[in-house]
Amino acid sequence: MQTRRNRRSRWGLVLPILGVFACAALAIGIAIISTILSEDDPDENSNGNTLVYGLTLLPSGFDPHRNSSAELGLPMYSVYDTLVYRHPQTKAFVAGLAESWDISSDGRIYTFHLRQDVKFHDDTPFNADAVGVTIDRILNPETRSQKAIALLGPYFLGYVILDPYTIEFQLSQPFTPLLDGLSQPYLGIASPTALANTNDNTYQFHQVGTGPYRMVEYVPEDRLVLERNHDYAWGPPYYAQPTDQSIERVIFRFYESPPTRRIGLEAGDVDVVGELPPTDAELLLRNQDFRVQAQPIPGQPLQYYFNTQRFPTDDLRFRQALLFATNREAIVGTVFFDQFSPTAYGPISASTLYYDPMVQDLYPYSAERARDLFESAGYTDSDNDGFLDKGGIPIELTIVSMDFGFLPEVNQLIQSQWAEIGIQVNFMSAAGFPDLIAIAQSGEFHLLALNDFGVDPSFLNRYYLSSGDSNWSRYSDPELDNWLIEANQSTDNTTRQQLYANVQKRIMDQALILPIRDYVNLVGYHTSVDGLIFAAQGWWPLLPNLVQRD
Amino acid sequence: MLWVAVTLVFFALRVLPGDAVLTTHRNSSPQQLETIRTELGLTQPLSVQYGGYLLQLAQGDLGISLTSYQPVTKVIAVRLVPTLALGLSAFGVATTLGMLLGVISSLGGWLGRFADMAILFSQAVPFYITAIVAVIIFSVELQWLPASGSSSPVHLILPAATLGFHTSGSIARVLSANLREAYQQPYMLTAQAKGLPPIDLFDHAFRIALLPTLSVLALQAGFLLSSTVIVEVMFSRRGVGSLLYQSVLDRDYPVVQALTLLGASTYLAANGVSQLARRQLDPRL
Amino acid sequence: MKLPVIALLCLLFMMVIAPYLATHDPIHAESGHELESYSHEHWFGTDRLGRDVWSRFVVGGQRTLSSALLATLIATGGGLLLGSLGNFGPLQSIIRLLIDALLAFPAILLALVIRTLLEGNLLTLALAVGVANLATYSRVTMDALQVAQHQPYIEGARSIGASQWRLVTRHIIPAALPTLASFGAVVFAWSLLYASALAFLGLGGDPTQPDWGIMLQQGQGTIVQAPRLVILPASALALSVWLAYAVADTYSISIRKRSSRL
Repeated sequence: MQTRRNRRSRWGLVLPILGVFACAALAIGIAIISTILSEDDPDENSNGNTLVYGLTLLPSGFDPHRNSSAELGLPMYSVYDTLVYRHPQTKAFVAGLAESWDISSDGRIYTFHLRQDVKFHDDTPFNADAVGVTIDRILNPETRSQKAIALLGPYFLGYVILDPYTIEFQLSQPFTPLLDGLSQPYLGIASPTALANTNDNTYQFHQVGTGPYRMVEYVPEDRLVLERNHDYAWGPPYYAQPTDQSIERVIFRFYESPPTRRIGLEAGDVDVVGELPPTDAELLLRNQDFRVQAQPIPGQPLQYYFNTQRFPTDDLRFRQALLFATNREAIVGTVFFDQFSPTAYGPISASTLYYDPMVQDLYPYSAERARDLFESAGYTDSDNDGFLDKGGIPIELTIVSMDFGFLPEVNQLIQSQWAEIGIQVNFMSAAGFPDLIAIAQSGEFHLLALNDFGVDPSFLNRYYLSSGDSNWSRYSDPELDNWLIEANQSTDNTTRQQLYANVQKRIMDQALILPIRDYVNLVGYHTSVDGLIFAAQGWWPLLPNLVQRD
Repeated sequence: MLWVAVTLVFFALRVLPGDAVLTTHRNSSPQQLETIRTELGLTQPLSVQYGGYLLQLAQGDLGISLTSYQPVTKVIAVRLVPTLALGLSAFGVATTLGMLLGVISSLGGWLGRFADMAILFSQAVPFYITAIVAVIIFSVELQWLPASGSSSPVHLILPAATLGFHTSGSIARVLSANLREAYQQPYMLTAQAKGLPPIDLFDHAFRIALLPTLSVLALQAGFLLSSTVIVEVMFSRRGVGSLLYQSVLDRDYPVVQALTLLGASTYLAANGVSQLARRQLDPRL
Repeated sequence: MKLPVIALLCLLFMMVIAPYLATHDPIHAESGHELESYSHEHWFGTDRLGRDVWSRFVVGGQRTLSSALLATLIATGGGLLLGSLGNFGPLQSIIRLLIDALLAFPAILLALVIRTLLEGNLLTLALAVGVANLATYSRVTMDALQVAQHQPYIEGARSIGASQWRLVTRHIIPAALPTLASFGAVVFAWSLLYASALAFLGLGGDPTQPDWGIMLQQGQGTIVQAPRLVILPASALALSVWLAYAVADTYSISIRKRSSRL
């Protein structure tokens, strides 16, 4: 009796413990097996140099014809060739898949003479038909193109194939930024065979272009792998010739959360990663194994739009006073560190085409001038609460921004600086882009932080035309409208230069924005990596020029 | 019940301001936007959308993502495995460690006090703090373990260990308290007095204490699911947690709805398993 | 009163007087004084924008603790109501279904939705965290009341013909009270962790306002240069959570056994 009970209770002891531990072991086992099954480590089975490149955003897709993020260009700039290229240094147009091109005198017909020695990664020959298929795809409403279609412009009528290697683009009105659009990977030419074999959803996993690297695989949120295209012999003159040290295989990985980037570098998980927080960039500089490159990104600076339709930012003198009251150099120095980031003074950054340095002298920091302007415009502290008011109406500005790009830090410093001259500020943070647009459309803000990128300042139109869909300043000025429209039609560089000088001056004279800092991409990389050069648009690395030493 | 959860999230999402189409189609003209919205069925009245959604669901169709236009099942499928791997291995660590700490703590003495400290630390310190410190020590300084990525089991070690450790505290606490309580039961004292060997005593106590622990395990499964959001962001891991986070921000309704369904089913399954286990262990049930 | 309760009350009291403990304006950024170390002027130095860490710490604590407290009130208040309705009212089955559905809902999703739905401030943060814990508390309430209902002496009272109202107010609720109070303290601990996690993810509302979670997130960037920026709020958070758990323990040792019917 005694022994039987004992045995039973022994079993009773062993069973639950065994059960629990078996469950735990099973859980770990399943976890490990499933990871092994689902992944084959791409670092293996490679000969030649393999480089891991960190992406800092999770694009909603990598199909350049459909999706719009700048991030997708990091790999895709090398998978596709474009009809024309911009030289990384001079930013002038150079031949790409088109050997040469003519623009008709009325600016409405672009004729491209294509290279005859090009083939896609799948051996499909490149010709005018291939260009036509890509354009058709972008224009097809079912593709739901997010950016490429906009780059073709509002006046794009269609194309005519004159002979197998000559194609003509026809516009209803002149649209000078067309070539700029054609130099970006969103208008990269894709293999007609590959497009025919896939649908809009599956193409992004099997993209085929003519570029120096071909796409091997894309596992969403995990990696995108490229391999060198050994047949590539039609690159622009600034692409380096392959050597033993060239990169055979590039694995792109995702580093969405900013603090993970430096750690990824230091842990040896990644060789190159951009968008480092300035504090991390500074730490890396002190580490002999790493270098940091501050790469200017042309386009709009980090800036705030003033709402010109709402009290008190509807008052020009009030806006100007705020510009004088802002010590931009101090903000940039504290948040972004001087050595990495230039201060911004106008609506386009210094690395953008047609930038006019004249804007630098318009609003030097001067609390004195700010005070004078406030006083002359009737803003005083009549109730002695330390903050200005006008006719008894207290002033409290609402600043709207998203919580990234160090905007919270910049907000904080603006708040501190403005408090000293009696301006009270509160903040509203948009939790995502749809949120921000909803607030922007409601007009319930005084300042709204938003910026866009591009080499050609034609991106300004949507933000400053009276009818622009993103005219967040809610400002309307027929003369400014004319300049912006004319600049989009003129093919003459000097004319455009003059027009954009007028535009920059007017925007700043009217104090429509508060510019803070020219956008700079802080790229950290291991010292074994060399030849890090970026395309004229700033974000996209020229992978053929990268080398890796042991 | 799943239906209630899905309905709740369906309407909650549509109250949110903002528009998924605007996230991706910043460069499109208003007409293009309208066309896309119509195609995606976003212009229909809410009741029609809801009816259509339920109908789709009944057919096992989760719809397509509003930001990537990929089928939702596919979007989730590629991210499910890494999250499951993380969740399960963290759960394994939590269970093993929790049981060990719980038993040691119930024994008392300096070892027990040490276990108590570990339990305390596990429960009180936010796990992302430990994660930051662990990454600095093991990845940056010692370079033993990778700090980011999700492509091999090695990548699992740090996130699973930190998450598992911080989940083990609750399990250990409940087990330890119930073990102590079990030893106080009159029949245990009787058995002790009768001179039953300690191992048999422990057997009895452990079986009694295991019951409440099991329900805590089920609860912790839910906690793990929520925590994967932060872990995946911190360790640059692919997974449904970070997908959920991004999809809410982007107003990608179909994805969020599908993830709710997934979360609710996981909870139900965990609860079911725990019920089943309890029934196996407790003859009264 | 037990020691942990007193300690927790002391902590809460310190947070009430936090503005008087602060030596500087917690949001004022002093240009040229970034990342300074410990000094007589700045007891715990300054952060990378030149703000006084000690002042941010005490005022941030006020914010963190009060949002957690508010969240706890929302969770316990709503939970008590739902839990009681699920046990006594005419709508029992519907309420139970609702509670179950809410429980199955990933809490972080709920918090995210509420946080994005409403503009971020202390109130919405508290609401998000409170609602996230509401279902669990309702369920605990329901179970506790049920357990209490079936206690022999209450069955006894019923058999001698005590009125339902008297039963509920005089017997059932007092019997369930230790469990409810103790689990309330647990909810407070969870709220602290949840609220700081949301803030850490950048969803804590106005990021210029000090808050322990926000301080942790911002300090993470300079953890190598200035670990004190992380250590200070992290240890305070851990202490508060521990105290809350300790309070839960003093209220009832057997609570876990009862809530095991979860």
